[in-house]
Amino acid sequence: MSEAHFESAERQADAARLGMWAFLVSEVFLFAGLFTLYGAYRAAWPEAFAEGVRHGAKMLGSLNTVILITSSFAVASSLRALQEDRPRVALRWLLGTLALALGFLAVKAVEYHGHVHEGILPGGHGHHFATLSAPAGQAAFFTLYYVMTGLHALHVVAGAAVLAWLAWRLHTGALDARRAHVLSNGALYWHLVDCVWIVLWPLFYLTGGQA
Amino acid sequence: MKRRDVGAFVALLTLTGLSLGASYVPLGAWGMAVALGFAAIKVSVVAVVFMHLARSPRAEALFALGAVVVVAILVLLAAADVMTRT
Repeated sequence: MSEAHFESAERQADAARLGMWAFLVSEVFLFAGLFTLYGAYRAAWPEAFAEGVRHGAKMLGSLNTVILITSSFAVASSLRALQEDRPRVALRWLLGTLALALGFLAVKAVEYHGHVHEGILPGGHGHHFATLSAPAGQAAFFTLYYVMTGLHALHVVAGAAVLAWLAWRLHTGALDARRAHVLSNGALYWHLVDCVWIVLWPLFYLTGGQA
Repeated sequence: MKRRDVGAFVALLTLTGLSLGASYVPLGAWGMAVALGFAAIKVSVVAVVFMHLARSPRAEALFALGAVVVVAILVLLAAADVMTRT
């Protein structure tokens, strides 16, 4: 491979990474709108939001925080292994990441099932809200809860699909150390999904104190 | 596996534990600030270490920084509106 050719491949990898960053920034804007909405509604109904957080599945949410942080570490380790030209090790870390992604979704399913069983549905529907004297604030809280954690869960599904595709490419040998930037872009997306959850966790599971 | 990544992983787990612990302490209005403070530090650790922001080309860091600035404008202006309504 000529040196000029190598330089062009480097440029291509740089451009691909920058394109991924542009996409990540647009994802941040998408969630920023929802975070702003959360802030405005929380300011309007501080006590109802704190009550909603106290009603949430704190342990399941915290378990999912640990799962996603571990998965971020796993995908970072996968990228390191591929960059060091150890594709088999990279594949094992990537499969671990994928398993954690599916674990996150399983925990989320248990959590949603529990809330539906309690009569908590989006839009203030369900028998839980009929027991409240002033249901508007909690209806807003749980609607935002379903929309924001649901949108995040969709990102986990998309991320898991990308991870599975990358794992397949690693397995067949189509993805090797020379094309590590492809795995790097998948890892960047997965880290963003982790970052969004890191901010969702305190908003919906931790901040139940009286404000 | 690199020590840098392991260090970030251990730091993230520790910060998660501390944040969970702090949520049981009655901090009143400070509870939200403390919880979001922990979240901001954790996001920074992920961005700098796992996403290699510190060692990436300047354009990538500029994109990330630009996002932070624009989101800060959005949140601060919205907060100014909500907090000054009568």
